[in-house]
Amino acid sequence: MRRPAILLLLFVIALAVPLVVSSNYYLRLVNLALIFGLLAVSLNVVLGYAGQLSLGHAGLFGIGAYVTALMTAGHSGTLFWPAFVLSGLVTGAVGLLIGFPALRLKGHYLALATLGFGEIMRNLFFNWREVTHGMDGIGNIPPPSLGFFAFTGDTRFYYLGLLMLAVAMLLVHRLERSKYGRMLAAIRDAELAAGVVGVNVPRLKVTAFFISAVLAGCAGSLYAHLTSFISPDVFVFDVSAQVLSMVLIGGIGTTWGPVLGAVVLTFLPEMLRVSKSYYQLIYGAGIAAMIIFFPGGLLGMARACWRLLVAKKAPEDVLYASTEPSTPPADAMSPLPQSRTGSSALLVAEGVTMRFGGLVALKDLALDVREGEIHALIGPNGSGKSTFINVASGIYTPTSGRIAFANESIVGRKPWLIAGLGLARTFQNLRLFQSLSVIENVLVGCRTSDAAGWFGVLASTAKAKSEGIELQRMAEEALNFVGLAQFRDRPIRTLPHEQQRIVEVARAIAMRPRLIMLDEPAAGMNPAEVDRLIERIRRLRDAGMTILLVEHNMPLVMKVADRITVLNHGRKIAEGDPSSIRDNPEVIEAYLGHSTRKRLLQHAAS
Amino acid sequence: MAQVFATGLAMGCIYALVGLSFILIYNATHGLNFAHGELVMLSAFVFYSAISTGAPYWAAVLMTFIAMALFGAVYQRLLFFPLRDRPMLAFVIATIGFSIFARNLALLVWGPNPLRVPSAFGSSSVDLMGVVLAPEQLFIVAVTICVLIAQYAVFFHTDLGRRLRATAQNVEMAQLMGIRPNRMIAITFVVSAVLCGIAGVLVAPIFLVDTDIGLNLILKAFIAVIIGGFGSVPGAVVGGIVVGLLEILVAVFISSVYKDSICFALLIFLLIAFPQGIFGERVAEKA
Repeated sequence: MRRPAILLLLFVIALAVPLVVSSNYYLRLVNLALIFGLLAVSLNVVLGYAGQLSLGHAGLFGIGAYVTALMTAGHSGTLFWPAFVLSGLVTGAVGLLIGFPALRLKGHYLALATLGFGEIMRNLFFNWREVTHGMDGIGNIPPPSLGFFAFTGDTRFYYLGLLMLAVAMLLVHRLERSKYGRMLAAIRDAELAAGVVGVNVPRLKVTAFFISAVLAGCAGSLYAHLTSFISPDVFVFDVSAQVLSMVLIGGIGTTWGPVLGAVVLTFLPEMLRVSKSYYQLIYGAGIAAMIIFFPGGLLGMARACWRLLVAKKAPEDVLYASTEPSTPPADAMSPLPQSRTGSSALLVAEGVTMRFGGLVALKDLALDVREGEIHALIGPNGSGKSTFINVASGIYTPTSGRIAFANESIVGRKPWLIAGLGLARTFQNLRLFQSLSVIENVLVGCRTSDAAGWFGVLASTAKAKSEGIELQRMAEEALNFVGLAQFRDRPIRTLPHEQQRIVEVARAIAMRPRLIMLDEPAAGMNPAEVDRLIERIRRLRDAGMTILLVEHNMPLVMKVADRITVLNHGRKIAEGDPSSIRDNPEVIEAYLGHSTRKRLLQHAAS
Repeated sequence: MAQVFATGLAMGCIYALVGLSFILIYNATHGLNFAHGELVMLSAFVFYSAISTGAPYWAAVLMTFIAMALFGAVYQRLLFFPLRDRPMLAFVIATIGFSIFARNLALLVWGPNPLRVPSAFGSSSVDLMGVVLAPEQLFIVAVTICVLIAQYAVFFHTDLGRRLRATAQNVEMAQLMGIRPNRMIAITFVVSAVLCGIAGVLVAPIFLVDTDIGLNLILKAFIAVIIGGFGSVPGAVVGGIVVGLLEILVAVFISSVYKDSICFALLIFLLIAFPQGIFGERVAEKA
């Protein structure tokens, strides 16, 4: 109710700005704030949503500006439109060029690589005189015009810039709220987990770089047409750093934060200019101080104030109210209809060896998981159980051997492709998407058969909307199934450990997998929680899923498993039903050691 | 040719010192100090002022070191300490903010004109087996070697060094062993700042000192630590020398205008092809 009112108010204020700001100088600053706002929105796509740090945005900004300048300088302003589009596309192409290497780099490596890119571009703008005219710059860039109507002067330009920024913000906002936004957040929070829930990590990262670069190029084009003159000293590292500060100070990962940051940082020097030579000094110190004192940025601070002033009643704490699984129809979660395989073995591993340097984690392992069974994989610590799950889910590629899932070889396939075949997993040490709510975590796992693409999402087509609703329904089904429906909108970190583990299970079953690999689901659980877990695992099987269970909790394994495979030092030492495993001398020896086994035997004999 | 080589080596030693002190902070805190070049710039200016008072060379050097040590402690307390539990990015931005602050502070205090610091060796030259070298260059190489030996001795053969390394490897565990991590991190910042002081004292006579020398130095130091492998101390040194030599060879034989571009292109290529560098850390997320 309140949101449209605020938006309308903002819209009216935005329209009225040129009427209120009479000085041309200040209006120019307002226009610069719009352009830097667009640039900050662009950086926010890679930094805030995808979690990839770029220190080279000034380079992208510059490419956009030079493309437009070279096309239109000295010509008619009508050329602005094609030049604007081309600026975006060329810069986007360069963004792809940075995006691909960025796949291999993380954190500070990416930061330094993009910093290097920015420096190369600066060097190029300075020294490639034949094209960029070096320090002389390029002048005579016409104001944009529509036939006989030219956007001359800052007032007219303001409305054009405002429109462009508003469109960019709308698109980016839709992106953030869409399935793609959730997938990017998943990559940012836990890249490995995102991959095994079916997110095509590299494609999404590169797309984020592309979108960001297109927006940066468009910002560059607008900048050139606003100032009508460009020279290389605008596209330096300081600008990249400034845009980065805008995003952080405004509020990283939010729709409005970067724009707010851009407005504040564009006008901050003006407010400080009274102190003449000291303003740069205060500006630098101010950036550092804002980072230190306002962790959530200005937007975060504003929200905190809002919450304090309009104190809402905290939602009732229902955390411990009910953790019993509810009882939705058992067929609700049955796996997606897929071509049945002839053989009953769903997952077949043959001769799988996995070496890490000199360490042999798996040695010539053969394992088959039959359709519809609960198959437990046990063994002492370091026996290779988790390694097998990592190999089967595509995180590691085995040194040698064959693994087939539903008769298709999965060796060397990427995790998201394996996930797409219907093979899901959970992690031993929780890997949830911490910044997302419970239902959003589960939503990342959901797929519809008829997915809307990027265009559909950005244009918010009917198909994309109905897909969104369908995904929501699927996620709710998965949450109902595991009995977490009442926590759907909770932030992950507010859930107790047991529930967090169950969210991982819900995220996995939301993919409607045929086989789900649970890696020590009972770790850290008390006996009552383990009992509930046993109930849940049985219900998964009843719903038609096959289960591969890695677990140390023997009571649990003995109660639920149909078959057990025992590993020791990467080799299979026994396989069979629970009772035969319990009495197997080799298994006892692996767990308890040779002497203990002897004593046990003596004890039994006497 | 030998002269070109010597110039490259001397510059390489400077990069190595900057890279080394940068890596010390990174290893102890996982923070990227983007104001590291400004630390060198400030110490070059401080050294200039100290020399201008008419103090003898050694006294000026001592004053610079003391100033930088104090500065390192304050810097750690004001900039790093409040951000220690925040994401890496926060410290990066805060240090970028500080570098803007430092450059403008230097501009106010020392003015916009580049300053010339007299060489301790006059304009004499050394004839080493038929090759004429500037004594400055020999001095830089000698000092760097001494610093490296001292650094190695402290880190690997003293109790303090063991505690510093323990803190760098696992803060919580170090704390359980009775080490005060905050104090160790403060010491690291002080040591790092003094290393910047050494670099500043060494570059002041061979560069004209102005507010922009920091950026160039930190960029080259970045390339150095990438070549050597992020987090590796010997890597930073080897990388620094490689960058120094490469830079001068490119300038002489290919293009002096594009030498920085070529260095950065190499940086990006190395990051993609050999992200672990020569002695580097593992990059991939552990499963």
